[in-house]
Amino acid sequence: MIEFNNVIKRFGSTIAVDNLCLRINTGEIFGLLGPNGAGKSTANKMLIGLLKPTSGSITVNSLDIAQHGLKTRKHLALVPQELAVYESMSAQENIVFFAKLAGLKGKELQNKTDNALDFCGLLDYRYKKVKTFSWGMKRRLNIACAIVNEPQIIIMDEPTVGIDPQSRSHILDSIQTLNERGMTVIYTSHYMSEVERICDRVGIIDQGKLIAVGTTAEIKSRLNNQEKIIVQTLDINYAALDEIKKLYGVENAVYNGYQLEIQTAAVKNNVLDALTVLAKHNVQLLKIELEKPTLEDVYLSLTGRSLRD
Amino acid sequence: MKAIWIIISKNLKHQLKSPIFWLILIAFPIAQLTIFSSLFSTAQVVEQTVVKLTQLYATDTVFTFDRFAIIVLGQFFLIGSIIASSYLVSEREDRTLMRTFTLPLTKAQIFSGHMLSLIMLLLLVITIIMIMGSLLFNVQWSANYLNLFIVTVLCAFLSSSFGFFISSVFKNGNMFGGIMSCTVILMSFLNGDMTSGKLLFRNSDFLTLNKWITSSYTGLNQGLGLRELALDITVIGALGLIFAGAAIALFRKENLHE
Ligand SMILES: Nc1ncnc2c1ncn2[C@@H]1O[C@H](COP(=O)(O)OP(=O)(O)OP(=O)(O)O)[C@@H](O)[C@H]1O
Ligand SMILES: [Mg+2]
Repeated sequence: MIEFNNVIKRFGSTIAVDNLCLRINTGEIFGLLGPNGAGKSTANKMLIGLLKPTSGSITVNSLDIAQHGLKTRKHLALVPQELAVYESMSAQENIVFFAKLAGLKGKELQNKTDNALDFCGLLDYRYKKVKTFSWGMKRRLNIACAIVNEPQIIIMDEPTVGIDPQSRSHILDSIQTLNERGMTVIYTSHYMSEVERICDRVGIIDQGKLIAVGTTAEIKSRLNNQEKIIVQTLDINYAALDEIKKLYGVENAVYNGYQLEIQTAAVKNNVLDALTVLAKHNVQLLKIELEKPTLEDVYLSLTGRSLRD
Repeated sequence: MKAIWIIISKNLKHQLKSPIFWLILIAFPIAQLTIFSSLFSTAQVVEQTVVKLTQLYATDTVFTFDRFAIIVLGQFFLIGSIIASSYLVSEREDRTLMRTFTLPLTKAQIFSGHMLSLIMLLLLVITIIMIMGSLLFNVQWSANYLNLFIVTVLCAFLSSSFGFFISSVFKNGNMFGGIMSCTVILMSFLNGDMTSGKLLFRNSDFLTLNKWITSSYTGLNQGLGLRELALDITVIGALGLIFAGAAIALFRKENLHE
């Protein structure tokens, strides 16, 4: 189990992580979400010991990392947000070097190197120099170098940025396989779909503060009272739009690209009211949809910002 | 201990594969020696050169080819340490050094791995230059191999810790390259290597690393023992320890404040 206890990290006058209290259970895949500059990487780096908290403490399996850094790092590995691989070496040499330093040897070293190459789909490129790799391949190697010794806890900081959808899907499957074998995963990402797909629990962090934590269902239930009405229509007049905006329970309405989106607080069912207004103004409807809130919506309502995807 | 060796063997393998290494550190000094030995063998030139040089090196009893070979050797301690420690700068820029900090290793192990790689690499370069020097040009480095070994190891330690220190101060690759080159050129001016022995100002050579390196090798060449070279050796050892200490202090802070 990993615990952040009142962790604060300052860089000069910026507070990158602001009084973070968070518990990550053994064996779960924990998603860390937040806009740029929220403090996700800073939290990750503090956990692995690359940065020292300004105050507060972090424990891994009840060991304080400030006192037992070496011991806890035996169980931890980080996939850094930026590439950290040797360009002049081959994929295999990179993986073997980091695996040896993590303590692997002999047959185990060989097997786990093969597994790591397979994990990231680099088996066919194992002897190629990294400098000849595409960006996505380098990103995959960046992951392979960290998972090779199959640590108990893996911290992944936006691991799949720049990786094509197919390889990404393969990597997500592999992460789940490792998780089923008992690995705890901390997964930082801007891709909501990934987080919804693999994470057991999610924490949303903004300006260094943890503003929501729970299973995706729990977090979404915060917005349970909200829904979105999407109406496809070729044309709408502004009088109708204004009238809809003024309806009780409607928070916002926008029209663009032949689509009218009505955000409602759903204190009552607004669909009929909205349709009545549209009918009164003779608006031709092509299609109507009701949308329950997604993680993205929750995120938007909590942080006031949308994620880049 | 094992981790240290893994780092050393990776570094050495990488450096030995680099053509720059062989070209600049092995081919270049040999070429330099070859050119000068041909100057020395042309009677007329020798006469002129020796006259000119003996005027400048008024304190030296003889200016021989050996003396020149020692200056070249002294320079290549420093040039070697620039080239070898520039590798550390790229480790930092590629964040591979940062990655090693996330592994279950102590900073002491990582530091030792890189420091020992530098020392071993320098020893290799210097040994090759010395062997080539004595085989091809008959340079008599010293009759006492043990003393030669001790002095060489100390000088390699000094140059390595100096390179490590500079690479920890100037973390940006271009900055580092520039600063190191300027330092070496400046030292060559200060100690007179570039100005045929004329010093920039009185005792300016005391500010350079080459002075201590060349003077201890000159002593060995003239048959002096370690006791007579005590001053040189002490200075080399002390400077080495100072630079190593400073490098360690900077390394401990690495990745904690960035
Ligand atoms: N080395 C540093 N020096 C000064 N400020 C820093 C440093 N590293 C991070 N910060 C600041 O800390 C804050 C959090 O940065 P962090 O990298 O943790 O964000 P993030 O959530 O990972 O963002 P992203 O999604 O862009 O990766 C930012 O305001 C950033 O400017
Ligand atoms: Mg980040």
